[in-house]
Amino acid sequence: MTVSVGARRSLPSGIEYAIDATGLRKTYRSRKGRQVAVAGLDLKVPNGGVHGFLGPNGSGKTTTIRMLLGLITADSGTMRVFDQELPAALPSVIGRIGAIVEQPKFFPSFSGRKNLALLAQGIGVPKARVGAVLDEVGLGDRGRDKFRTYSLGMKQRLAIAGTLLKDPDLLIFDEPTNGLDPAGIHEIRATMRGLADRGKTVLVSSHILTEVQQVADTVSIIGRGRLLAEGQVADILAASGGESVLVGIEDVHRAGTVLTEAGYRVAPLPDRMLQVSRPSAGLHPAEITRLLAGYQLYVHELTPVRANLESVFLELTAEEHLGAHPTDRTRA
Amino acid sequence: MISLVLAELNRLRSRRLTVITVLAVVLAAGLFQLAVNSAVSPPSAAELAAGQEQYQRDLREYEQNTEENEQMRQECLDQGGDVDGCDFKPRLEWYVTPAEAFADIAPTALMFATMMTGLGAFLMAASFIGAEYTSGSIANWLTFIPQRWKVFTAKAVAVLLGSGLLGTVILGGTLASAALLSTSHGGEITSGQALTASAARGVGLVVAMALISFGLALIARHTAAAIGVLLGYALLNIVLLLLFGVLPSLQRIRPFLPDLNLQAFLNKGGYSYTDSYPKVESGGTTVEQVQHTITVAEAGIYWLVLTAVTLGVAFIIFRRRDVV
Ligand SMILES: Nc1ncnc2c1ncn2[C@@H]1O[C@H](COP(=O)(O)OP(=O)(O)OP(=O)(O)O)[C@@H](O)[C@H]1O
Ligand SMILES: [Mg+2]
Repeated sequence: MTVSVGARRSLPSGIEYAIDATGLRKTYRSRKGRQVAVAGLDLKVPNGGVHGFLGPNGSGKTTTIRMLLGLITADSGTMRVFDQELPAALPSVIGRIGAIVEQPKFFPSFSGRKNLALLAQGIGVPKARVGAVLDEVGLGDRGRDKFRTYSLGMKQRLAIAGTLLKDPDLLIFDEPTNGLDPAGIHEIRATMRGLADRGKTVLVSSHILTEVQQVADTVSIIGRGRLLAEGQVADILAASGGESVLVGIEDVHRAGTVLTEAGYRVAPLPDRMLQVSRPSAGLHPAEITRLLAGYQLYVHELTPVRANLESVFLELTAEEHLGAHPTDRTRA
Repeated sequence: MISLVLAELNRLRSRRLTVITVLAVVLAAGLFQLAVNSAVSPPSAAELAAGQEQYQRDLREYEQNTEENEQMRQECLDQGGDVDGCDFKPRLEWYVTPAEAFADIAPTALMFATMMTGLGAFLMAASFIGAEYTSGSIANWLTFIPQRWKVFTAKAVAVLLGSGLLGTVILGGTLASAALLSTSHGGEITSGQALTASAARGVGLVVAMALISFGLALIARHTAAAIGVLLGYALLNIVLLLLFGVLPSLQRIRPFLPDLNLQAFLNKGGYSYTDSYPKVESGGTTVEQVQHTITVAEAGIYWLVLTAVTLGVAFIIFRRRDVV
């Protein structure tokens, strides 16, 4: 895969990384076969601030997080968290890491309070801390209700409360806003910002870029288990060259092939739309129309768009969408 | 580590299934004490009178048929019966059941209680682990305590302590209650020491069953799998009984069957059983019967090895396995 936009742009030097992983690989083996989930990923998360960990569905975000937490073993690669080698040093650094992987996972027939009390007891945290963290996430009065009866937002908040039991320096949230309403999303965002402002490092994964754009200081964009771009949000935007064109056309698939062969980058969008860019050279909407018309492909809509992180993201992950699901034209 | 074990024990005792299982086991063992009570009770005055009356009636009838009696006696003796066994004159003890001695009823009560408690402990342990995988909370737990050996050990110790406590209470209670009932009806307590030892071995069996179930559930990551193994074995047992008839040499696996070893470990004298090997000879088919005994010590080793192997395999798998 050729990556020209924001490729491997290093973060400012001299920064100490909360997470520094290189060459991570993981292949899942099941009866149905092998599935390469992470393929030589490098991930650098600066100390302090919110770091967005972006990638389309199935790009290996959760897998990477599981490797960091020792839930699964990496096939190869090195991981350092707070300058300590993982997984060997996991027992000593785990107290500084709070993580929610995928959905919050608790015992459904125990209350939220009981679930946290068990965790607190297990790691030797005083019981009083349970009430404190429940209050902190606004679950103080619902703590005695069964976890099963919680709304999605409450479950998420309970999970956050759980991570706060340890008072961690690094928080890892895997798609924390999945399924939440706007108010819930806003709340989680505010929580992440608040944690970062208190000097903590927050790694938040998402496949929806706009969600992270507002809160992240830095981002890593991955696709198919590899790093596609990393750096500060502003830098990535600047380097993308900015321009792209939205093309509305009947036969999106053929148009995509034609444009790709002509050296354009193409990302499929819903409603028979394509996002087209050409990072290496200039982008002239008229050229696109002419090119497609030459193949009896007629454009019914043509809109130039200014670069935002979303378009960069789509551009970077375009090949992945085309490669993995040729018929799936919906955005995740 | 201690806090980890305490947390696991806390979870074990807070689980609804644990509470239900304990209640069910207590109820079953308690109900059995009703049977114990009636067994150790001497016959009541009414039973005695009714028995007497029937005895008198039968005796009168017997004495009226002297010729017939002699004929039956002769036939019985011809068939190889002994003199006493061929005496059909009614005796009073045939009509009035005397109180059963403590030493006779207690092993039955212990066997029943051990099976019930073992079954309960099996269920309790399987679901203790299964629930963690069904809810996914094992993944969350491991993000707090990443050392798998610690997590494994704490869970195993909690299962051991929990089932040990349950076994001690139920089996101890069973023995004590049987003794109490027996004495209250004027019975005498004998073989107390041997029975206490048997109850202690029963506790060991309950713990072993719980740990094996814990291991199975951990290997399979599901409660149902452990229970499935149990049901599967029950089914296999029926199939085996049929197969033994067809394939007599298969009987050689019997010393390795859990249910025989369970009885062998609990009973004072181990467990004896007879293998039958049909032999076709010139005169027809004869059946050669070979008696075997599984001693208490052998059964003890059997359970120890079975438990250790299950736990060992479970640990090796759990230590390496991806938790997703
Ligand atoms: N337990 C598993 N067994 C086999 N394959 C798996 C397993 N978990 C994930 N995968 C595969 O590994 C790849 C990466 O999955 P992963 O869950 O890490 O992606 P993700 O970036 O978190 O995606 P999403 O945004 O949908 O959460 C996918 O192709 C997925 O199908
Ligand atoms: Mg994921």
